[in-house]
Amino acid sequence: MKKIINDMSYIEFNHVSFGYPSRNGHEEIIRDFSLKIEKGEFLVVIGQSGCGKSTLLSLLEGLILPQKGSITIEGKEVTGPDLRKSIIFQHDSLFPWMTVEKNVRFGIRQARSGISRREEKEQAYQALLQVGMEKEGSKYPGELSGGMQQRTAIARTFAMDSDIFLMDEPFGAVDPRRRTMLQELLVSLWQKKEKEVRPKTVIFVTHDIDEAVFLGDRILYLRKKGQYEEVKVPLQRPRKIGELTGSQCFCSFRKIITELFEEEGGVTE
Amino acid sequence: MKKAICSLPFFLWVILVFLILMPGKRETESCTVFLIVVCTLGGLWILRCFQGKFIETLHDILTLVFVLLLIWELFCTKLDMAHPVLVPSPENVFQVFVTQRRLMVTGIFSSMELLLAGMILGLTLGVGFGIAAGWIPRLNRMLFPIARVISPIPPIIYTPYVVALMPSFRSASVAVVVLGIFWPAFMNTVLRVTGMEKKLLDSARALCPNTWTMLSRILFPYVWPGIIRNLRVTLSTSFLILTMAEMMGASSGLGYFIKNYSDYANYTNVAAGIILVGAVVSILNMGIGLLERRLIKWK
Repeated sequence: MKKIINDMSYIEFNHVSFGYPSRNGHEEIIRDFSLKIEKGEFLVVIGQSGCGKSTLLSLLEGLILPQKGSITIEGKEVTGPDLRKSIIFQHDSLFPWMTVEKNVRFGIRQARSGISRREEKEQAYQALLQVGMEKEGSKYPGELSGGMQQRTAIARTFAMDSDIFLMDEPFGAVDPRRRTMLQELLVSLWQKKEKEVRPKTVIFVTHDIDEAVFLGDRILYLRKKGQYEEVKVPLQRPRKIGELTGSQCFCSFRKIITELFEEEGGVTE
Repeated sequence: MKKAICSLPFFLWVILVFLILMPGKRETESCTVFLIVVCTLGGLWILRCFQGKFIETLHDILTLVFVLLLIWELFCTKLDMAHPVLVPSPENVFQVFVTQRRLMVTGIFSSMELLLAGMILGLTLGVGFGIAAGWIPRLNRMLFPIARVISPIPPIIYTPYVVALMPSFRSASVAVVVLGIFWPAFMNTVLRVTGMEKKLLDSARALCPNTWTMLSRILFPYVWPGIIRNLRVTLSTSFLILTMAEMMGASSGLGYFIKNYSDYANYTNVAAGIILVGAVVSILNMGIGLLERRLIKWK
């Protein structure tokens, strides 16, 4: 792998501030936030509700732009959405007027223009197969449960095969059994690509501590206004959720994060 | 079936049929057409009940319709208590559908042609500009305030002027319908595009569609159901405007049919014309309902 020049990290937040206008003038969500993310890293962002986790993802995607500071990817400033990165929200990521299959195909077509229709269809089928949605291809999102909609959105994101996955509590609405399956699928997808030329970088927002420890290389506990604590998770991969949850290592990480939550006076879910 | 026969509308219907067949005080034309209409109404409903589909609303509506027809028949034909010119007998009114059928059919075609032309043009322009103005903020800031001033002006007000302004009556009618439809369609589309759910918009933006894809695959399908749903209102408005225009300078059409005969104080034909307009609008509305179910499967 080529060494990135000038010791620059893959993704960098440099003194980023962002806020929304509010009744009291201006409410800052993130103030002077700096962070480096390496290529191929799996970063989990965890924190209380309203601490700005989702704002962080929107900023990185380019849906909103920082009011102060800058965000760079490979040294280039983020000025808007592009296809190197794909974002997936907790819900409502699908277009209700397109069938499940069309939704996935739309994403594929956007990501790879010039693809033949047959290939597009085949890739969409494979993506839906991965998340167990291949039989629902002709249904509209409105006919599906929240979890199924989310699996479709995940299939679309995976099929688009971007370099950077920005995931905002993507498995929140999915039932526990599927959730484990999807977590493992995500990890396998991320690991598989790590061996190839284009490693995937995942920034994953959650409020589930187990999920955070299971998935992340590094966990960022976000406090109010963009202050954060970092916890590195050097657990060996591949991780098996069934084996991990009882282990001492896992519990100690779990404890560290739980304490961070309690320190702020919040209850964990 | 039993429920239908024991019901109020059935009872009213039987009385009505008997009443029609009985001789009355007022001289009328043949009662055949009126009888056919009443029998068809009742027959269709009984058939519906026979199929096991007892619909309460339909039951209530028919009760009201039969009561009104009974009153009309009783006071005009049977007792001759109403004004003979102003309130024509139902027998005579329904007979017009046979004697004037040629004029009525050409009238329907003439009106529908203008209505459809105006509606299609008005909707295309309104939705097209609406999507553009909803999506491009600068265009929105320019057009929306103007639309807010112009759209509340009822098109009926400038109908006479447009009729005078345009070279032919037909182009004037289309222009009036276009004007009547354009502004509401434009306003609705702009509001719907600017009010699009943020998550949906963000998802779309994150997929980096080019402007054309954004317009055709995201924004248009998003506003389309609202337009179809508004089409019923749009249709009524356009029809109102069109008949209005037809009353001013046409030589055919449904509005002309009514206006022409009311000038000659032939209220029998006027009444028949009104019933015809009602029937045509109802059929159009049913068509829109069908279109809605066909085109918008995802709602």
